[in-house]
Amino acid sequence: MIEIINLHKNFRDKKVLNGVNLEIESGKVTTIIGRSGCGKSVLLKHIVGLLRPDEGSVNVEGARLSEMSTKELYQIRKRMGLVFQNGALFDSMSVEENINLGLREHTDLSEADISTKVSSLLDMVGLPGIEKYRPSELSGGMKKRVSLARALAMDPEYVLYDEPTTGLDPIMSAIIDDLIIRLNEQLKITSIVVTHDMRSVYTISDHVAMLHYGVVRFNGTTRQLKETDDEVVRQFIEGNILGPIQPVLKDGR
Amino acid sequence: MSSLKKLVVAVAGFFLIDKIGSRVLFFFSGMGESMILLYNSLKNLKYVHRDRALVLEQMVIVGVNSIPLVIVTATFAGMVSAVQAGYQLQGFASPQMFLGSATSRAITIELGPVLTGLVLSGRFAASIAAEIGTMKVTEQIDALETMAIDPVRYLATPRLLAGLVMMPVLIVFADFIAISGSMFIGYLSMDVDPQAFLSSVQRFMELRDVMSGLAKAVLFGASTALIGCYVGFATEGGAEGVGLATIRAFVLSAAAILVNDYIVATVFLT
Repeated sequence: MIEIINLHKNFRDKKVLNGVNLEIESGKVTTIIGRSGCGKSVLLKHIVGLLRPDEGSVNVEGARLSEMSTKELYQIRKRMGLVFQNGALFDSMSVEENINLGLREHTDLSEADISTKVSSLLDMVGLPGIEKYRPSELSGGMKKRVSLARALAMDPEYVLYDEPTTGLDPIMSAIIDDLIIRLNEQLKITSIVVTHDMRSVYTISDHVAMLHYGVVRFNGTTRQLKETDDEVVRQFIEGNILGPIQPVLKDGR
Repeated sequence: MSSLKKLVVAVAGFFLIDKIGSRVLFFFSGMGESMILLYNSLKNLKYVHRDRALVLEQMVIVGVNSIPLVIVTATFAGMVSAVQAGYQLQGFASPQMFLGSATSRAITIELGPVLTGLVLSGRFAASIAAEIGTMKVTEQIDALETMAIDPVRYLATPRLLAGLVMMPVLIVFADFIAISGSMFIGYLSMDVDPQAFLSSVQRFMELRDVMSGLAKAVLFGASTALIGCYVGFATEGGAEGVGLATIRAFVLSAAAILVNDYIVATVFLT
């Protein structure tokens, strides 16, 4: 289980997280929703220990990330995979090298086993035979799927997705959603998905948390989300212009 | 002076002190952070056998790929030094006796290391800063961290090691090319016999001339790689940030070469 306790994070004078409390249940899919810039990705980076909280803590199976040594943190990270919003593929490497880097660094697998594993991961994300491609030769959606294959290479217990379906066509979004569900059902992977895609939220989630002004505004199941009478949450999930959330547009409207 | 004028002077003085203070703090924090990066990079030298492919790749980039540039720079530096020395010796001494020693000492002590260092620092530090900077702004460094791979071990240590090893090799190579260029010009325009040129080199060249050149080469290699890595890791923003980091790495590494040159010259030659 991952516990986020009273998490605060400021960037200069801007308060991004202002006391986030959330429990991520093992073996479940938890989605984190919220408006752009509300701190969803920042929260994700705290969960993998890329950012240190100003106050509060992230505990993975009871161990506090911010008190770990680098070595201990790396042990936890080996059990996690992060799918970056823009892929974050190493552009000096081929697709194959991107995916097998973790395996080469942390396992004693033979070249043949590594190669088989890379091929099966690429098959799983629907991109067979692109091992020798460079990231610059891939579309945005392909990069995202290669990033997912890379995140899964070490057979992680936790997979964190930063907007996995943004920029993908509806069919590919559905394939990614299906993959997240299958990974969760078959391998009991704990998934944390940051997304704006409400169709995806209803398809994949066991739990949904909505961040608003740096705190968790809603935390519950998809059914509870659909039935909530919180005006802020309703406006967000229904995508209404009118409501308590007042976006400030450039022309002052 | 009216009270308004005094107030304006006081406010201007305050802002000036504030500006200078923040610059000084920025400089010392940068120095401190780069020393921490150096320490962490050296700490990872124990993994060098495992990371030999990464180190060799960087050695090829720094060393082998720089050979054409070094040949052009060193050839012309050597030829110019022969022309200059010939001009200086006019009416004083015979070029037959002294051209070899004058040019070879100038080349091994100063021209070879500094010119090669400056040319390579532009190429090496800027390319490291651009590469690591791009990785930083596109979250590739975060991706390494997430995969439990230490970016300093994976990126900085191989580059530092490549700089430390290849800069001396390239500078010795540049010295050889430059002295040959100088000998060639001596023979062509001053009728200095190559045999006489080489005996002059042997007669007057001292071991400490070569040692000071090599000491400079090691320092230049380390400082160039370190500055490239430090500036790369500190890059912020998008493409503009990477552009600024590239310029910064080039300027800082060139300045570091001149400072290190002075320090080594003081240690070895005074």
